[in-house]
Order: sequence, then structure tokens, then C-alpha cells
Amino acid sequence: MDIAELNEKIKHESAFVDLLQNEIGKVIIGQKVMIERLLIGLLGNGHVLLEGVPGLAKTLAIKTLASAMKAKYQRIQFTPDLLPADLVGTMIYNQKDGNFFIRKGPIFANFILADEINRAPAKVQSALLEAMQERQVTIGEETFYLDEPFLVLATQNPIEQEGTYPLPEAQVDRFMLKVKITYPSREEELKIMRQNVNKTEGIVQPVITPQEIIKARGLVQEVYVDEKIEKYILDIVFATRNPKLFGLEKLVDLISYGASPRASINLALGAKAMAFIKRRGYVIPEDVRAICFDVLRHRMAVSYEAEAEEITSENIIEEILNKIEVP
Amino acid sequence: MVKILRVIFCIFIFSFNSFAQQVNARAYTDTTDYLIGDRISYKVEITFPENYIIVPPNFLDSISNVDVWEVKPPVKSSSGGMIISVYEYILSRFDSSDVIIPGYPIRYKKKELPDEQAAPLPAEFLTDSIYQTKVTNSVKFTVHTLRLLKQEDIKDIKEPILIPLDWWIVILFILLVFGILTLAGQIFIYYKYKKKREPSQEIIPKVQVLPHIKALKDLRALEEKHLWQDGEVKQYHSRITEIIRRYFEERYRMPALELSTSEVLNNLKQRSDTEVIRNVTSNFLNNADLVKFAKFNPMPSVNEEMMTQAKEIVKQTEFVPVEDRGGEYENV
Repeated sequence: MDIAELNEKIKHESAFVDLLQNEIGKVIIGQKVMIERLLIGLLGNGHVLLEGVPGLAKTLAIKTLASAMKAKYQRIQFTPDLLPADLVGTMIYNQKDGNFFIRKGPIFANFILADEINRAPAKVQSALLEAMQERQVTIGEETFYLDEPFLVLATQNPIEQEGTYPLPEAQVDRFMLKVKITYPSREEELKIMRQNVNKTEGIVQPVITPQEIIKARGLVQEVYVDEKIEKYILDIVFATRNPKLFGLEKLVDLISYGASPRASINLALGAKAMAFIKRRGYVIPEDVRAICFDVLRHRMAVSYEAEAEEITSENIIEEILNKIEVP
Repeated sequence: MVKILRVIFCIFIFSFNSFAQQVNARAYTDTTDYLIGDRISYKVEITFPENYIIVPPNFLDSISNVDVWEVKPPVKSSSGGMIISVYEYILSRFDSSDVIIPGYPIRYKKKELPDEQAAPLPAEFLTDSIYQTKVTNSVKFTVHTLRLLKQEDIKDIKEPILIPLDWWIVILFILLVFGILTLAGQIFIYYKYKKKREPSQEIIPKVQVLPHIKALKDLRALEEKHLWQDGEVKQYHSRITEIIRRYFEERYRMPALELSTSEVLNNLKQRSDTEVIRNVTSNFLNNADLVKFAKFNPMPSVNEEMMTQAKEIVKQTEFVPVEDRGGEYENV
């Protein structure tokens, strides 16, 4: 498809993005970045891990997004005594006919909110992450495909680390984005306070169907990524692995391990989704830079030296972005 | 007969007594009460007539209950035909107890008797009839630990002992410092003198090319390459935006090469002196992005317009030096 034609099509088809943002805005004040990243996850067919202190509307945002989409939503509160069967379902014995029947778990929904994912033990996290990757669940001898769109939005609390099971690096890598939620501004908080005290929040209406999202995903796949952009993405990812090659000698001792190929894949996918949200049929470097932190921050680890100097993966990504020339 | 026997007996008795009085050996310590680790001065004093020689006592290997620290050379003196030799041994003990140093035999003989032992040997190796023996007395002393005086108050530890200043060391140190300083001064003077003699190198002032001059030169060079005319449209747009971004880097000290289009435009917005070029730069960079990233194939007039816009951006914002900044500028 010609890019001009694709551009026009995307301009037309992406109209729901504004509608969706408006609907979510009825309930969620501020947190534009978080909402944008949730849409990127939705359109890029990737899962999102939200990290932030309690009370920043993580759960509410996901619930609102599901309500605005006429999609099936399930919330699972992860606790230390949760079992994989509580998540995916199990086989129940029926005493009347003496047979087993399958009871599907809450994972069979379009939107899954895995609240405080780091509170459940590794086997439950593993069951969820396997379902996220394979998009299918096996109960007994039967395999079930999960509904499309299937989006897992997990939350994680960076404080109160006692009694938690931090997600292993290999599993965190399966999340397309890791978004860090910050506090709202003073003005936003005033609005939040008034809205909650006076009970004036609007009612969210469904403005898009899951089928339309699947269609939009098809268009996102068609968004054009030029070779120069591909090279730019690879430069960024490779700079996390071998900073010396890019004139970033000072980062050599600060990086324990660099980003995996999933980072390149998700940077490209995320940039495409970002271009779609911005109603473009092609990716520009700005799209890559916009999502770079969310794609890379959980895919690389800083060394002990960096930790001692309080240097985070975000600082390293910033250094890389400031060094690599934009095409 | 009885008379003869009495005479023989008297001769025997008197001769023995006078012989015994002639050589005497006495062992003693300076005190009988020592603290653990104290130096114990153990002396053996041998008094003998001048016509006698004695074998110096050598019983170090036999002493087992004390440590021998030092053996001092014997001190000899004579008085009234008698020689007094004093042998001193410094001993020590690191355990509290009563100590008894037993008596040791001292061998002696008359000088006129044949010397069958040329070198003095330990007493136990000396045999026989020629040598006589005199045994020293045993010496008893006590080695004890510190006595705790429970009735007295606890006393503070003693102040450190001040070592008296040795002026010789001070003088030596001062002389050493003075010597080092003199040497350093001489080296400094030598190098200064040497430097003076070397022909001075001509300092060539660094020529700085003004950013706008460099950018215009690069744009002219790009124009002469005829890239878009030869079908290298994408290459042309990449190169022309690179020249302008580099110009912004040098002109406004912003990392324009590492920033996206919107970030460059935002940076320009924050500067008041870029107002005249904001719109044209926005068009210029966004059009180039379309060509670079969206397969857009512009008309020839657009390509020409890109060059015109690039030159306009540079000319509108050219930097005029108002003061000398330490270098000379080349006007190309």
C-alpha cells in the first residue's frame, strides 16, 4: 500500500483514539503518558507492566479502558497463597454424573489486570507469563485459545518489598512496556480531589469494540518503518550491549547486561503503534525516542557500581539517546 | 710409734686445711627477690693464690630453670698474693617460683704441675689427679609476679615517657631538607636557563570558522554534487538536514544531531533570536522527514526549495562576532 494512501486510511481509522482518550479522561485526570502507553500495548499487541506507588489510578485506568472498549475485564489480586489453578482454571469433579468438567479461570478475558503481580509466588507468575506469551491455556488435556484482544496489564508496587517475589528478568522481558507512573501535578490533583469528593466523575461509555481494535492492529502492522529508523533502533539496542562501540566508554562498567532482541522487536512495534496514535502511516525517530524508556528500562540491568552511584537504567538510556545521532 | 703417727696426722690435717683456705669459690645474686622478666645477676667469685690456675666455670648448658641472657667477661683483681676472679651471668625467668641454682665444681691446679689440658674444657671433661675441685654454694632466689595491692585505689596508667630530643638528628634533618631544596632549585634554574636558550616556537592562532560560513560552504558543496538530480533524493534530504542540524549545534550549542525534529523545534522555541526561522525550519525539517522516513518523492521544485530554505535559515541567523574571543575567524 502506498504510504500516502496508508496515511489517509490511518487518519480515518485512528479516530477512535481520541474518542477513547476522551472517555478515559472522564474518569482519569492527567496520567496522559500512562493512557498513551496502555493504548500502545493494546495496538502493539503487547502487555504492559505498570509500576508506581499506591493510589496513582493504575487499576482505575485499566478498568476504565476496559469499560470504554466493551471488552471483558477481569481483575486478579495477586497474593502469596494464589495458585496457578486460581488463574487459569481447573477440572472439577461432578458427583452427579461422575465426570470432570472444566472451570475456566479469570484469565479468559480481554483485559486482565494482574494487580500487584510481585506478591504471588513464582509458579503463579510463571503460569500468567506463559499464557501471555503463548496466548493459550491448557487445562487437563484440553488447550484453550485466549480471546483476542488479550492484554495483560500488571501492576507492581516499588515500595513494601517485604514478602514479595520480584519478577525474574526473563519474565519481565515478556512485557512490551514497563511504565513508571508518577504523581499528578498540583492542578491535576486538585481536580482529582474535587471530582472524588463531589462525585462528579462521568460515566464511561463503550466507544470501540474488540473487533475494531483487532482491525486497528492490522493497520498498525502496516505502518512503514524506514531502514534508517531500523538502523536507529538497532544502534540504541546495541549501545546497551556494547556502549564502547558508540563512544560511550563511561557506560561500560555501569551496564550489567544489555537489552535482548525482544527490545528491538518491541521498539519497532511500539514505534509503529505510536505513529498510529499520532495518525501517521510511517515511523519517525520521535516515535522511537518517545517509547524508548518504557521498552528498555526493564530489559537491561545496571551493575553494582551503577547502583552504588545511584545510576538507574533510565540514566543510561538517556545517555545513549543523547549520544546516538538521529537519522 | 704413736708419736710418729701423731706427727703424720698433724701434717696431714694442717696441710689439708691450708690447701682448702687457698682456693675459694662463692656464688651469689644481687638480691633474692626478682620480678618476672627481671635481669638476674648471678656471680661466681673465685679466690685463688697467684701460683694457681683455675679452669673458668662453664655450666651454661647445665642451667635449666632460668634463661641465660648474657655472659659477661670475667673481672680479675689481685690482693695480697691472691687473685679474685668474678664471673657474671645475666639470667632471667618468665615464670614465678623459687629457683635454686645448684653448686658447680670449679677445677684448679698449681701452675708448676704439668698442663695436661691445654685448652680449658668443661669441668666434667677434666680428669684426674692433677686438678682439684672446689664446688660453689647453691643460690636460692624467688621470682614473683606483680603484687596486687587490693587496699590501694586503682591508679591511672603512666604517662608516655618523653624521649629527649636529639639535636644531632634535628640538625641532620635540617641539613637534608636544605640539601634537597638546593638541588631542586639548581634543577629548576638549569631547566629555566635551558628553556631560555631554546628557540621560541611560534604560536599559531587557532582558526575558527564561523558556523554560518561553514554551513553555507557545505550547502554549496552539496548543491554541486547534484544528488537529487541524479535520483539520490533521500540522500540529498538526509545530507541537507544534517548540515542544518550541525549548524544549529555549533550556532546554538544544542545537540541537534541527537534530537528529533520536534525536539529541535522545541529547543529553537526557547530562544528569542530564532523567531524568524521557526516556521521555515519546521517546514524544512518536516518535509525532509517525509522524504527520509515516508518514501515521499518530492517534486524537483521542492528539492530546490529545500536548498533555498536551508540557506535562508543560515543567513537569517548568522553569527556576527562582536568581540575577539581568543581566536581569529576565517572569512571564506
